Amino acid sequence: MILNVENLKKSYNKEVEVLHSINFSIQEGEIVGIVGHNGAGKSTTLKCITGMIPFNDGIISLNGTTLKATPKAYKSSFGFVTDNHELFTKMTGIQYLNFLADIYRVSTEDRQNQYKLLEEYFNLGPAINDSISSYSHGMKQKLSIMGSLIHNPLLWILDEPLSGLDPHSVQALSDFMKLFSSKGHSILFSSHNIEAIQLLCNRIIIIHNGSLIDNFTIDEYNASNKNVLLRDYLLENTKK
Amino acid sequence: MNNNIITILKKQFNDLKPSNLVVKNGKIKFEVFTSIFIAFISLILIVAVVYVLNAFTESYCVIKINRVLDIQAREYELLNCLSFIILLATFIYSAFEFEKKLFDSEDNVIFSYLPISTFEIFISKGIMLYIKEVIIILPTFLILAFTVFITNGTLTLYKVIFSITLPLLLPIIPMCCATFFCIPINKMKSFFKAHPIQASLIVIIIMAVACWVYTLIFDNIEQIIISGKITSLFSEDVMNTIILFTKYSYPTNLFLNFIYKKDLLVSFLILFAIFAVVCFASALFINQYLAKRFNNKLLRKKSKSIAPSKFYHLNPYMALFMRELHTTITSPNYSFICFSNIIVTPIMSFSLAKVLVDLTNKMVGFSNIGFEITLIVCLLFACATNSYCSTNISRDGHMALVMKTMPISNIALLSIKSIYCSSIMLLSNILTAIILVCYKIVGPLDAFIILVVTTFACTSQILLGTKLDLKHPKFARNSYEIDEGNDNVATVQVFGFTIIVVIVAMFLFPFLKLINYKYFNMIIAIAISALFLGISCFIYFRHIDKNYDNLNDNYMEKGGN
Repeated sequence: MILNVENLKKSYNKEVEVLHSINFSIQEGEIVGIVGHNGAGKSTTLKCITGMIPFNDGIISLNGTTLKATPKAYKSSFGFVTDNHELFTKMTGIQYLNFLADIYRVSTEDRQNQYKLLEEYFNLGPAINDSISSYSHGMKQKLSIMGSLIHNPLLWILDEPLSGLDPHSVQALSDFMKLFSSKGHSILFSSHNIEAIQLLCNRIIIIHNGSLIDNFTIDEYNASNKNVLLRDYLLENTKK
Repeated sequence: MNNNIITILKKQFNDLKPSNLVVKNGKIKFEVFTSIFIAFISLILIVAVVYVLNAFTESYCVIKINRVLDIQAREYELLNCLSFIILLATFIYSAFEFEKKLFDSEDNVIFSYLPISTFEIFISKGIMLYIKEVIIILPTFLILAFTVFITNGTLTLYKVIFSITLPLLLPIIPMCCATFFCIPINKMKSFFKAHPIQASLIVIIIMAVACWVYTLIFDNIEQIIISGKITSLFSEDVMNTIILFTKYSYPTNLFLNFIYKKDLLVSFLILFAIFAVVCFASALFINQYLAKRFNNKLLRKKSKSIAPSKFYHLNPYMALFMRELHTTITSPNYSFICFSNIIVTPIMSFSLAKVLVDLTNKMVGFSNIGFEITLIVCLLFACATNSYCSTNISRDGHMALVMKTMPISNIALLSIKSIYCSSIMLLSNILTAIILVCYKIVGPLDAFIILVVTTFACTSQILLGTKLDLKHPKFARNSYEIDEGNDNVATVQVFGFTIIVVIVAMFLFPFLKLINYKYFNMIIAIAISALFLGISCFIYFRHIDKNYDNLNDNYMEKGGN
């Protein structure tokens, strides 16, 4: 088990509980998709897991480490792509990748090798030397993805990675996700794209109004719900 | 007026947000501290300007040319020069503002696909710029003009009316002329965007030159205060140059002719012609040339790379430190705020300390307070310019939240920022101490004590500023710039000034003055600054982990995705 989320709770202003006892785990090599309506708590769940926002209760452990007890070891084990593709816009693409590689203590050789691999799928071409402030939305997304993978993490977490991408880029990302998980790494991502979720994921988690209402593998679903298409089931359960 | 122009004007009025009004948790809050601080500083500035101008007017207006006293002529020259400076400043400001509003404004992208002509956009933004300039120029000119008139006893209702009219008409001519400079400024800004390090260097050089000019002015002010006369500065040649200048200083001389009832008809006709020509030429230029350039500017352009395409390896802490330096030098705004410490503090401290020590040495009973005066002056400038720390978190924007997901300890991440600010501050204080010793304002021991005290005081500001920004960050609405103006800047500066006030109070405390020990004041100064440093350390480290973990975007408090 690579990631274990136990009894995760999150409230704002101590009054509004936005996550109610979320429990799930991810195995090695799994691609797990989180679906839900707008405001369900998908991004909040991911941000709690990554430490971007604090949570009120629960235990999150990643590869035997926890966020509270061993934060540095915990944070070294995942890479995160935010929904807004936050970047240091004054840097060039290469400066940004170097910066992240320094933070994650990736050797020069390893970062060069990893960059070569990522370049095949998320090629920015000569724009890698340009200031990030001149990048388009798609270019920022590609750089954000490259940055999150520069240290070859065990778990790759992405928040709405497919939004705003052209079909070629969606295909490239999907292909890379399959390659990544085939090497034993795990992926956790949220999306509104039900087709992509169906095609990519081994396991699907549905969050509705802050609660985890379903958690199943594709095989489990197909075995037990022969009358209802997965797509229709997801559409029905992601209504607000 | 055209409907589109009025609509765009209304939008611009809605977008106006004073820096002391902020939105927190959906409510508009008035930043009391910042407002009081700004009002206080503005008042001090106005009083200083009025005082100096009053003294200068008294001396200047009694200068005789060919042994003839002509107060009205001297007054005319003085106001002419002041108006010309305002005109130049308006021209430079208009040129940069026009360029910014027309080429860098976010709303232009939306306007571009609406049924609004480029000319209408230009006109409405021009009107808004005019209104802003009048709001600044009107009180400025009235303060200057009324000071001169009241000093000479020549204030009349007629002069009051025309003094109010002049600032309403003055901005139009430089604004129209400024439209011709939008393109060169745009090209210059594009060049500097592609070469941010060069831009930062130029900003620093301009600051250094400005400080040098300031020291020259200060030297002259010292002479006026000591001798009470400025006739030595205004020789016959200088006066002839001034008279010649005011004769040809169009259009300000024409405006002033109305105030002094000189050649009214001729002045009116020439001014009318100037207005007509510049307005027509400007409108033609905007319509035929600028409008086309404006549409082209909406296409995304790549900036040229300054970094080679290669990987290098740094220690994580050095990577964070270098990132702070990179952020500073790639933004002229940040360079100015950060490096102003290094330039301004040594030069200003030296020039003011020199003047005050010279003055006090000549006054009976105050000749042995050189160290104390120099210390207070150095503290004043060091604390006033040490504000970069108050945006240590906010500068990163939402990346500050993303940095929380990286394997760096909270204390290390925050402390690197404090260390960066401290290193700039230390360099500035060391330079100050060296200059003071080299110019024999104080001795080496005094300079060393001043270095220690200012370093303690500034470090305490940095720790406080960083902690305040951690607890109350103001992230930019876009990734490129930080929202200027927050309570933290004022709080940090007031904290610094509080240290100064306490030190001064202890120097003056009657009981302590009985202790006749040569180094007593030095010990007091070190002890007080160390005490404040201790307080800052306590505030900084208290719950720092928890504060950093709780660092959040306000919007998320409403329940994000």
